[in-house]
Amino acid sequence: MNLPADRLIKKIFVAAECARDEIVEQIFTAYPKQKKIAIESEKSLTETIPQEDPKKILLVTHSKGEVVKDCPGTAAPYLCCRYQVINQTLNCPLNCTYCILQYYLNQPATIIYTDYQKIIAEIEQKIASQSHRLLRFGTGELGDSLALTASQIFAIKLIGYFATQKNALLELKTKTDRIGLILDQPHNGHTVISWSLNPLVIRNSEEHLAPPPTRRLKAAAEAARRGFLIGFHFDPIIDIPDWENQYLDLIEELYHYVDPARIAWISLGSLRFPPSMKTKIIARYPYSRLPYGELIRGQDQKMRYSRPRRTEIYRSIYRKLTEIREPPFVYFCMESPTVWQDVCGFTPQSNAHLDYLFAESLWRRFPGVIAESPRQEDYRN
Amino acid sequence: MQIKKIAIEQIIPSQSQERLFVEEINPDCNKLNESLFLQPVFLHHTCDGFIILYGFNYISDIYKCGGKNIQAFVIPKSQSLFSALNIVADFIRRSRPLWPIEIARILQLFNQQQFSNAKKSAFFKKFTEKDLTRTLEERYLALIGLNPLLHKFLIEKKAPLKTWFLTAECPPVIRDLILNLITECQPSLSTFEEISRNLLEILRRENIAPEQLTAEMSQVLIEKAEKIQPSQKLEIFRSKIQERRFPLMTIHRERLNNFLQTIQLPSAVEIEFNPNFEERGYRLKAEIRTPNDLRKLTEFLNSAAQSDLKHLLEIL
Repeated sequence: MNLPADRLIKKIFVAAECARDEIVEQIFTAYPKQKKIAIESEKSLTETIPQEDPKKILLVTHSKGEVVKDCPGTAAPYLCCRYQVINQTLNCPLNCTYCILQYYLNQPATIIYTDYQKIIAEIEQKIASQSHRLLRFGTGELGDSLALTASQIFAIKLIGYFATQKNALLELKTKTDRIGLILDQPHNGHTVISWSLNPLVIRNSEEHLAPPPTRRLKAAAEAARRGFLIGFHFDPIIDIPDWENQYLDLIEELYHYVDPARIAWISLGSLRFPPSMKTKIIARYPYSRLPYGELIRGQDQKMRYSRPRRTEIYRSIYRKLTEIREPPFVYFCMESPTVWQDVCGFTPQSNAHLDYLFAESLWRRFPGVIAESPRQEDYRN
Repeated sequence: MQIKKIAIEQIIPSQSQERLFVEEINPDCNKLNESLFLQPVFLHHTCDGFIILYGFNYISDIYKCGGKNIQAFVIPKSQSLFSALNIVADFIRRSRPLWPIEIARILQLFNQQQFSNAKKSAFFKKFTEKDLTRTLEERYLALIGLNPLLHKFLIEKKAPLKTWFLTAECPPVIRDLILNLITECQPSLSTFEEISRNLLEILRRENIAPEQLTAEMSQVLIEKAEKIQPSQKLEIFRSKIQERRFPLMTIHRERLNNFLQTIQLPSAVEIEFNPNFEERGYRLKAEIRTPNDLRKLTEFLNSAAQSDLKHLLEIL
């Protein structure tokens, strides 16, 4: 059952404290050929772990601090959706040229936290503290939710947990088409499996270890047939010479494979990264043209395409996504109120309002997913 | 190590014939005197004779003036070349960090002498506080191929390492173009860096031959060449490169400027907007010195220009 990304893994280091964890046994079964090495503590980690590609080494261990956090988002005036991230897998084997993880992470291994009961307890606490409102959680912030079997094993635990929750949704965000392990899990409509999408031409130049978009869409269609809610993320949207045809064709393909009525949400976000990541991209992926786009420094100090250009691109994509009857909820990830207004004709008044709009849309479009009709005042804090 | 008086005839050229270190001339030393120690000179005593490690210029000047001897720090035979270089580099480091070109030349010498990687790495770490990787070594070694005038410019401007590397990354014809610009227009370091980076990024973005870009950019200057000051020339060159690097932004800006010209602004009123357009909106700057200025501004705001100002907001 090894996935292609799993085959990259050469060694698995196991911290002493998690050697008897149920998940660790499952991970060992999933990686039968990889060398397993016990380590006493994380202190000895850097001495024990050789100077190898961190993506080829798994470290299974217990988490030390909070794993469930508010999504860091970005600074005002850009709007964010108040998502909750579950950082159980740290790093991703897919090597996309634009990936922010090459900037954020510097661990010597891909880290898998195995103390899932503690992580679920953290989630439970968050839900309990705001039981009257919908919370959206996801594992795809610091790693792909499904690329590694080790992450899938954790995802299965989460799907089971969220199936019992009334006001919480789990999002598993991936660029892979490997959903076989999770398809049969009882989810009670509380898991959204979502795919990041870019046209094939961009996948070929910037996402080489991820499957082509059509394979992702076929996987999405299969997940939809099994009753999962589906999400899509056009993020990062990349300004290539033929961007309009490429993205519009991809949207047609998307609606060909997946019934819009099963799509919980679709996000749009253009390429953006901290300025110092530019040199990292150039050094790691010298063939990539991404760093040479017309990028300016945004108000959050991140490099992004200029607002007029982003607006032009978004307008076309947004129009195509929403020209159907009863379109899915489409939102922007880290965009300014001006862009919202110019593209959609309205703008959320705040991050809290955007958060509410998710709940309102889900309540309206997917009866039963949320226990109570959302009230805007419940989303103010 | 002692200061000794050494006969210049005993000094032999170093094996590499390279000057490893950039030698500063002591500004207070305007009188050559072979019996005084006015400028630092480092010689390494070897089986073949004395090798100059630092002080080429001073020794040469003394020799030209008919001097026969030189006062110098003499590193004894018992010290290896590696140790000798460490001593000189340590001495230089008291007054300034080693320039990237010095590190590059020393790495090249180490390679010629087939020094171990461990020695190379140790020296590198000591003087740069970085780990020596193959890529980093290659980037340093590429600095050796730069025109000495570029070395001089980068040293004078105290350019950071990234600017050295950026310069070396530019293809030779682009470097020649930049060098001409330095000679004629004396740009600041930030302008130099901006122009170099934009030229390099245009090449990568448009995937064109450096010769083609150089020819096109040179043409811009030829067309405008008549009676322009170096500073104007630099500004034209800079903005042309900027326009080429950011073509969509340029089109947007031109469209706005064209529209702005259609608005009949009172002479004391100016419109300013964010140069990268990330924020929507503009500033109306009005200078009111007389009641007449105030009247003109009021008339302007109440006139048909209102719809122009609204339209400007929409197209920004």
